[in-house]
Amino acid sequence: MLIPPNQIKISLITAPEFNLEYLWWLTILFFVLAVIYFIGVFVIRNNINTNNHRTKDKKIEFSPMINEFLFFEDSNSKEEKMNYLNLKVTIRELIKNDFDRNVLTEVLLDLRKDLSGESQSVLIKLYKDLGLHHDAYKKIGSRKWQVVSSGIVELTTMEVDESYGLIIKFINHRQSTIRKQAEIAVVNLREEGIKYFLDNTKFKIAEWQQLKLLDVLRHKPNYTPPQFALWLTSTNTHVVLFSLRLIKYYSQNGAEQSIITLLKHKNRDIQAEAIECIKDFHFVSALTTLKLVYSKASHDIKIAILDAIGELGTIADVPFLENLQLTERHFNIKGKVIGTLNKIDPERIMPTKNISRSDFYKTEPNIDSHYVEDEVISESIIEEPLENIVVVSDEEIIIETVDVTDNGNGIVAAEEELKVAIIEEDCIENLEEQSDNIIDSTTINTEVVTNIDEIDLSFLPHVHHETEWVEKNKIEEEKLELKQHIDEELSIDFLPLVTAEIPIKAPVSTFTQEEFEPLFELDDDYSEHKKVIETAILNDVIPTKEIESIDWSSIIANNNLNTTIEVGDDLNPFDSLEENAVFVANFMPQEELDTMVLLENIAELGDCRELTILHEIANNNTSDLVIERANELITKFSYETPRPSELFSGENALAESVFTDIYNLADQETKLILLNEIKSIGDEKEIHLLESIIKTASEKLVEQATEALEYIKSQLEITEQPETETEERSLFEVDFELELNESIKRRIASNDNGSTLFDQLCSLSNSLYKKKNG
Amino acid sequence: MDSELFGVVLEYINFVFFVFTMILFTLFSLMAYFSTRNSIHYRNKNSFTDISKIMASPLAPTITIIAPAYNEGLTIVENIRSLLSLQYVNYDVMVVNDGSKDDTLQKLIDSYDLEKIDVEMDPDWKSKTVRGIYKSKNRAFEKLTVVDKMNGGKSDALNAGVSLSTSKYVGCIDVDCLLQPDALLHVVKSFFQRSKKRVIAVGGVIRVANSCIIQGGKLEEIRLPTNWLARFQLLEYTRSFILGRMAWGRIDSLLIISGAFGFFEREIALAVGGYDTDTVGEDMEIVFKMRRYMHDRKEPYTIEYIPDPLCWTEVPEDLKILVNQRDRWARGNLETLFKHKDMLFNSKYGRLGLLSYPYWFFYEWLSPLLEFFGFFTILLFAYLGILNWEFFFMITLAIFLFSIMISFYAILWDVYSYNQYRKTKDILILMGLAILEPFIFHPIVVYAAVRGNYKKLFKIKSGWGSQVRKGFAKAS
Amino acid sequence: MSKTVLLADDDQLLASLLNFRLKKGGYVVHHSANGKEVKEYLKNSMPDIIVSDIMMPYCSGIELIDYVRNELKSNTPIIIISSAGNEQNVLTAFELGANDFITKPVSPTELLVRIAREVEK
Repeated sequence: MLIPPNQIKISLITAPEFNLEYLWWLTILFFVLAVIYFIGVFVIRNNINTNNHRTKDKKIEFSPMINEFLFFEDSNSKEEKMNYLNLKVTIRELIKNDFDRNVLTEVLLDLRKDLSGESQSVLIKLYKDLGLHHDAYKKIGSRKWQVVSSGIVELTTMEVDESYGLIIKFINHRQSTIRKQAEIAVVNLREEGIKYFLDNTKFKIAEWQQLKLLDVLRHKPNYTPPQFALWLTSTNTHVVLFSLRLIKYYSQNGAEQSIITLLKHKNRDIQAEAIECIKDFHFVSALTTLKLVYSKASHDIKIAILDAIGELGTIADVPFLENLQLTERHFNIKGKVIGTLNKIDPERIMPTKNISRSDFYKTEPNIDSHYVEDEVISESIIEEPLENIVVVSDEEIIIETVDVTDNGNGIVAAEEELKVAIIEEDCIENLEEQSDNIIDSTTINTEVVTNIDEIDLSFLPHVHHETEWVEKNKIEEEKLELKQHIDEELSIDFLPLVTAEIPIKAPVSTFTQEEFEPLFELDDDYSEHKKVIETAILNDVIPTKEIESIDWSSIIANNNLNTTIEVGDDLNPFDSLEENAVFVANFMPQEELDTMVLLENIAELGDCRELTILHEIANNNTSDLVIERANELITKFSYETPRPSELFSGENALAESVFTDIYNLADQETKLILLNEIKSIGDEKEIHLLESIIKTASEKLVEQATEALEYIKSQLEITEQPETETEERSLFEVDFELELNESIKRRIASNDNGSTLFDQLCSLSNSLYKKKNG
Repeated sequence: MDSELFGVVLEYINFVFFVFTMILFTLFSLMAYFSTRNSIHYRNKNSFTDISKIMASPLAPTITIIAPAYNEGLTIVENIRSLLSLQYVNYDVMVVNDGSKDDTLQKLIDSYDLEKIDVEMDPDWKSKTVRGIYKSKNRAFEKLTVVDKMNGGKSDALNAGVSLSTSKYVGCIDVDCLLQPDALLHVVKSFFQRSKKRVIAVGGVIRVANSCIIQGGKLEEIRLPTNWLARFQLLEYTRSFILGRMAWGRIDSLLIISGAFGFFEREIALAVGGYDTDTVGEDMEIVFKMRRYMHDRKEPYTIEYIPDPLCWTEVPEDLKILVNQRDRWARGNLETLFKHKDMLFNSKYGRLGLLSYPYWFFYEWLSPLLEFFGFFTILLFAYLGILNWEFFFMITLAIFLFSIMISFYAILWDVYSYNQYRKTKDILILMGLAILEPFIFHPIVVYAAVRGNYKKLFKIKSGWGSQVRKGFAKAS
Repeated sequence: MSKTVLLADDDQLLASLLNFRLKKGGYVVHHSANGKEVKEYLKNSMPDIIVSDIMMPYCSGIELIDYVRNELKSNTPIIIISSAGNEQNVLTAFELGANDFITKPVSPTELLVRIAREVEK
């Protein structure tokens, strides 16, 4: 476009030459291409349109035939049957052509998505009858990945079970689409597919794929998922992540330790998912690890951790949060810290500020129910778990800190004697009802114990509070007891800290915070306690089951006050505790209680290494409840990934009665035979089985069992008091000086961990702590 | 002597122009090739997946759609209603009223039964003051949040939304866009389908909705616009999205996501500080920032592009508004490129620095300017009688045919992939437009781009300071 | 006297199938593939029951309910066919006066039972 080069004389510098001819050729090329495209557009349009038309026509042709097939009923007349057969022949003729067959397949696949119930199965049957799945098999053999994938999709949709073996080899295919479709097919076709997939997949599982796989599982009728905890140890990070999600979705709360360990995983998604699980399943024992992980976590993980602490945390976590409140710079996190603090301890609400954003919706609507629920619990704590708390708190204090004891324990020691006396009486009074209610008191005990367990060593002052709180409850309790037995004046002299009788008289069901407060009108020194108790009220750590009503009568009887609380709210299916449990102030035999405490400790902190102890407990104990709980824990821990278990020794692990399983599965006849067998060859391992039979089984069996039991006992020359339930009750004496009865002594003697149950407990929890803190 | 030197200079100009054109041909041919590959792949991959099933999955991530609104009182209620009825479980809609001067907020409050709620804001946050946050009292609209803030421009409004959202992903859309009901499903799929790379953003096609039949917030029938300007734009959009973005998507070098339909991972959008409030090209700028951020952290990442028609918008039918729009685009382009000028030919950024950025620099920004000045040079040379007519004619013809060819190719792919315009007449019209475009529509676009650049550069030089913020008033 | 069913569904295959089943069940069926047709039909005659897909071109099932109840002031029973995950729409449908709904995938037998129940009322 510029000056022709030849017009200008160039002396020194010359511009590079270029040949215009090339440009000319290019122009022609472009022109030709443009023309081709122009024609191409119309050719393509035409193709698409004719194809669509043909398909549509075919579909219209096929549709009535398919209808006939789908709704053909055997009961129809002969003529219709002939029709049906003819139709089948026609259709077979029709689909000899490839195009037609493809259209028919398409139609069937379409309908498969829209139909359910019987029609769907008829449709699938028709698909196979017409041999269309052979086409799909051919597709799988194709060299084009998209054809292979569509073949797999087809077989999956039409539930061609036989293709499972063929498709399974594609789950580690290099081509991602084939692989993904194969994964879905494998999981879809057979119930065991998911196991195979998780075991064998080597590739990463994209989020979308996880979503689809879960979707397949969700829509499987009558599906029983495997224990996904098995795959938490997978070397494929994505399998771990997916397993965690499945665990959460199917609420499989049996893998506590593994999940807590995953908090430390390098992958953020896994961390986040583990936190979700912990929150969902209420793994209170994870709090220490949560706090540990916190400092190095990313923003969103931090917020998730705070959220979890808000759900699970206790007053013991307050210093940690307060510390964060000072150190955290990021606005959102800081807001979350404050929100969490408020959730755990509402007293700390900043007077000038509103509740932070993320908690705005959550706290308000729930507050009322929290009040009621937690009140129930704190009330019952006050009433019930006396000696247990004493024991446990004492030992915790001893184990954990020295200075804690100074303040709290002094009181405890002083009060203990008195209380013990009271309880002893009470125990005897209430022994009749005990078996029904043990569960309840145990739960509460557990909670108290748990709270104490959670305390991190760095938060000693709060351990102190915690203990004091327990002490406080104890004191309250003693007060109440005292009132029952002694005069009121005495109590006032004795315990100036506690207000006299308000708690009993207040109508519990209408408690609000204000009404509740007078209960703890304490000296200034004890404002701390007040706060603590209120926290307990607002915290939803405690209740773990549906509580329908609480019967206070046994305690309040003297005051002629009957108050019933009705709470219809459940928080968490925490354990296999019975629903609608009724609280009655009641006490377990000391021995049993101790063991339960131990079990709960194990439940919170233990892992499969505790199996030995559990088996031992299960075998040596007399109480159903204890055995049940122990067995439960055994099952729970057995699911967990086995760890190097130096504590394991073969004989102990096998201590469970060999008859238990068989017995549970057997029918009446077999049971009788079994009992006979037990009588002849059984030893002490069988005792608890027999006892449980006596309690639960039918008359005939009981008879037989009693006989067997008696026999075995005589064989073993058991010298202690006979252990059948009724006798035990009448002869049972609670010994609060921890003079162990002979059976316990013997058990302990066989155990080289300590000489008394008390020591044993102490050392046990000690070792548990060590384990937990690494 | 002088004329000799002048001649050599002219000859060099000739040569540079020729090379520039050749590179342009090569680039566009490559783009056509890559986009074809990508289209076929996309088609194969998605031909048999049924995404609607996923709607109710418990693993579905949260998405917040952020719709900034400025003086949208006329249409806001209807537009929001259609946003609230998308097919997805886990999403919410956040309308940010950017200090509208009309009754936008009041209309929203009345129609959706809104009430003010208390939310604590980050005191260090740099956006304009938020006056209030509203939620609906009616549970049917619980997905809706309305944020009322002082006027601060589109970027500022979007930033407010991004920062107030708690979702994993945020979608920034124009409030007057029409989203297909399954749009979010596609978006989630795009975010989720990669296992090796982290998808930090997802963009999509913008389709021209002029003259289409829309009923109750749903697109019922697709029609070719009746307005000529809109038709030209339709052709331009088709070419740019079907060929351009598809190709850049293929080689993972997308540098722009339309502000009308763009989804981001919130964490990263926040990490880079959200939208830049100092530019009118904020939608491009944030992608630059997010890409650089990921590059600097050496994390494998990608930006996905969905070719399916999910977002429909009305393009300006008025010449003046169109020129203003393009003027703004040119300025945004310049600002963004200038801000990230260190990326040019910087091998640290891989393909971005060596390919994407130079493309934007030379062919999106520089080329209109060259064309503009080239045109006047030709006139001048012709007047002076020093024009090489043969060369001029040849190269013009080549470029002209090339542009027609590329347009035809885009139409071909559009027909092949979606075949949305049913009438043969419509296709013929589009092809006719492709032939006319270089003479009618293209000069307009070039003029607007030059005007934008002139304004921007001139104002910087004369130190007039920042330009008057126009908000983002839409023509309506 | 057999009852009339208006079947509004844009999915040809499914519609034809349901059509077939309903006819076999003893109903007179009128089928429309889009909202416009449905409205046109309803202007002239009112069936004994309406079965409508929730997603249809030109007039969604929701609009159809609104049209029948509020404009035609008819109490003809309406059964909605919805796809999974569309719970919000189903709620709206009920608010507007739908009598029953059935989710895709559809069991034709179930649909027949539901229709029979509504018609008996």
